[in-house]
Amino acid sequence: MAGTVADDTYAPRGLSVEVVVAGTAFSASAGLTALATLSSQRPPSVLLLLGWPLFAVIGAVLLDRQPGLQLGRTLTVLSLAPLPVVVWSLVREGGVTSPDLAAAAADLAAGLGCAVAIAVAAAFRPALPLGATTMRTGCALAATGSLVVLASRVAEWPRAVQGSGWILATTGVLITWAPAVRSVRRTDRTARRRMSWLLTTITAGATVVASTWTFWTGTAGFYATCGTLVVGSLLVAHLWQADDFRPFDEHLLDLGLGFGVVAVSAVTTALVTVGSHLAHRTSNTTSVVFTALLTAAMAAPAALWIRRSALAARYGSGLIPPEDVAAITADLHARTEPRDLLDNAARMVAAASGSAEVRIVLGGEDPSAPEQWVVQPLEVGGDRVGSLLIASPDPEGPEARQQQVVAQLLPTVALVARAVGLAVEAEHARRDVARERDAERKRVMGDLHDGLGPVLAGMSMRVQAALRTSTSPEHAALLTDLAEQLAAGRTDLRRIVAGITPSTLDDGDLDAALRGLVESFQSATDTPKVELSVALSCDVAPAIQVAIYRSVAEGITNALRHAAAGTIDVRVRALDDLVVVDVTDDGVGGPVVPGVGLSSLVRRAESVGGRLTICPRDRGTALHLELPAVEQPTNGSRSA
Amino acid sequence: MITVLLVDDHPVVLTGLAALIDSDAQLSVVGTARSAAEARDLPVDLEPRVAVLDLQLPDGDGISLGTELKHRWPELRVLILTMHADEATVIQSLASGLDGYLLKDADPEDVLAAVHSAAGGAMVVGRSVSGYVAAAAASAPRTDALAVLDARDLEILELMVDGLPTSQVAARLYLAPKTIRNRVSEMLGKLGVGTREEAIALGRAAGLGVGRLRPGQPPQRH
Repeated sequence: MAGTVADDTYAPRGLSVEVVVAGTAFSASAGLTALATLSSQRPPSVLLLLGWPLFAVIGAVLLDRQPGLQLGRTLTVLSLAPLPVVVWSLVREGGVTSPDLAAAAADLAAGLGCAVAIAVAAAFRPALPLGATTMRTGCALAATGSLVVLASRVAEWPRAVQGSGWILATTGVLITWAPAVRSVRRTDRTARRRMSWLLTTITAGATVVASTWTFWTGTAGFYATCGTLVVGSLLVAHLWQADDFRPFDEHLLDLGLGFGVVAVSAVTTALVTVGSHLAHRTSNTTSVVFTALLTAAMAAPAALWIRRSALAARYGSGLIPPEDVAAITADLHARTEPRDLLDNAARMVAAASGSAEVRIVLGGEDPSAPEQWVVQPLEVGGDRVGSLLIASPDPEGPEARQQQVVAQLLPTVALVARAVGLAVEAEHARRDVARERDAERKRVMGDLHDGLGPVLAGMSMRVQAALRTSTSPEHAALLTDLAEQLAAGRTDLRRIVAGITPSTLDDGDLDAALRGLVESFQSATDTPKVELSVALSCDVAPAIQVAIYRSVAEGITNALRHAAAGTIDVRVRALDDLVVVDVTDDGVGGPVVPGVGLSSLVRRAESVGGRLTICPRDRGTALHLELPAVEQPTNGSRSA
Repeated sequence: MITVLLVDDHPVVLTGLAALIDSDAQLSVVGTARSAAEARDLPVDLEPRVAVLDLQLPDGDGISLGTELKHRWPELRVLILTMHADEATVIQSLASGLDGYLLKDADPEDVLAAVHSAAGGAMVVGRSVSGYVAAAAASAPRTDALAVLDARDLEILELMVDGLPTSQVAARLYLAPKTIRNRVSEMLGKLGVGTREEAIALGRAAGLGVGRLRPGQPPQRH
């Protein structure tokens, strides 16, 4: 019930009949009370009447919020309680100032107190485990009891009748409230706290009224009853409206700190007074009050600090400072794994809200949260981009205050999740494109190898056959040329195909793949000596292996094509976390104009987080490549 | 005179090979076939001494055809001639009792030498041939079992190959375990396998999980 009020946005509805009735009830009640209290000879008992008109105001407010609310109507009716008392006292010819009024009003207040308790129970019924039968029984008993008490007062019945009326009314109230008290443990946190407050309010009010009537003389009882009615009605109305309650111990802390401040102030004041007595100086009231106020003013910040620290320990800081927000994405450019940002964001939400653990999960589906975890959807522009999972130390989930903090942070976290999601998608797309490119290359090369290879082989054989059977020297020379050119063509084809990712690399054997590569160059007759040394101690990621392999292939091919080298030296070695590849030749050297092959190698090296440089030397050329052993995509490639 | 039977579906290779062999005075091509079926239809009294078979025929493979022909002509020596070579195929062909393995890419003189050696009873994976085999093994394009997967799937499979259970894969990728389970079952469909374990085996065979989790690195980020 309370929740529905809080969820609805409050819209003024104009004056409803109920509100007008409540207003009229207030006027009537207040007018009669004024009539009674303005009398010059009024007894103190008239004070009792002062508490009632306020019920009409609260009733009007509640009825304006929620038309037809039972609590509002009951409070409105209750505000008219002075009416029968005043009318009755007039009828008794004693006038409104009759001394009898005191006792009558006391009974009336007690009887109507039962009615208030029942009305409150009825209003809170959805929050209470009350069956309709229990409710009706309790109400009927309390109402009958109250009526008997009132009637016995008016008709001056024997005291026994009045006593039994009291027993009936009390039983009715107990029947109505006992299950509520019993069930406090079983209900959810908000209902439990509301119920605890309600019981505390009613118990405290009843205690105050009973003790003042018992231990003080009449006048104090009238004041206490009047004050309790006012404060109690306000508290009940507030409890009905509130939809989240702070933990009870926080109020105890507040109370304790308040008492602490007062105690410190009192002790200091006492010390000052005692000290001035000992010094034979008379302390005047002004200085004592000044000391008390000063001490309280100095102690208050300390109490506030303790309170803030205690709350921060429970709920976290409640906000993220701008520098922390900046820190979430500060090292974005250096991140190899964008998802690390989610850890940063989750840590900050946990610190700000005082949650035990916070996790962020990407994706539009609702993740099934473990026990005691709360799921908050992360949305950007209406699209769900992920979920925030919050673990709370409390089995009933985060406190309302923590939820507020989290709710404030949700849009920022959602943006981070969206950004990370996009970065991950971009990285996936980049890898897919790279893989597709590789697959396409392999396919083309496969076609080349399977289609052109046999043709060249068959032609070679045929030329060789013709050469062996040829009798004409002219033809023989031509056929020898052709045979050589075909052999060169076959070697070229093999080299081109081998320059593309070889299948041995699919097995992760870089060493064997490089040996095969060098061997394929060695098989041609006119190639220079290729020296290969591979010294790798760590595992190398597949993408890095491919980059190394192609660089070596391109390096050797370049040296063969352009440098007329005698020796080509290929060295692959591990250096800390890097793999370093050097291909040097002793050929012509001179400036190198990067062709398609080299440019694509430079791009490939950069795409896996490495660097390729080509240095022309006095004699020959050096190709130098540095790569991380594990693939590290760069910003440039991620945005590509 | 050494009689030779040639089986190859590629006309240029068949013509070239026949011309090459006929050019050798001691060799003579007695029969050619473009497919396994044609080879089987050859008359029994042909009795070739050496058969040179393509590994990949339109209606079968050279290795089983070779074994079959050896049953038919027990004295027959069989050479496999192919554009493709990987160690597994070489070992399989030799283990099947065939007598040699060489590449079409080899120098024609080497091909002739291989036929002579085979006829003489030697097993032909000579030094020069083995060099070619190694080089060709490195260059032969191979089909990738994981080509059907995209990067998103691979990321998951990689962690599975590293031995992480679903819950930890989910934590590593910041996804819900339910999402991972859905994607894994999609992945199994794409790969055409029934269980996670088979998918992991495929991934491992394709070299996934290398260099990602090194010994010093904790297996879990959380």
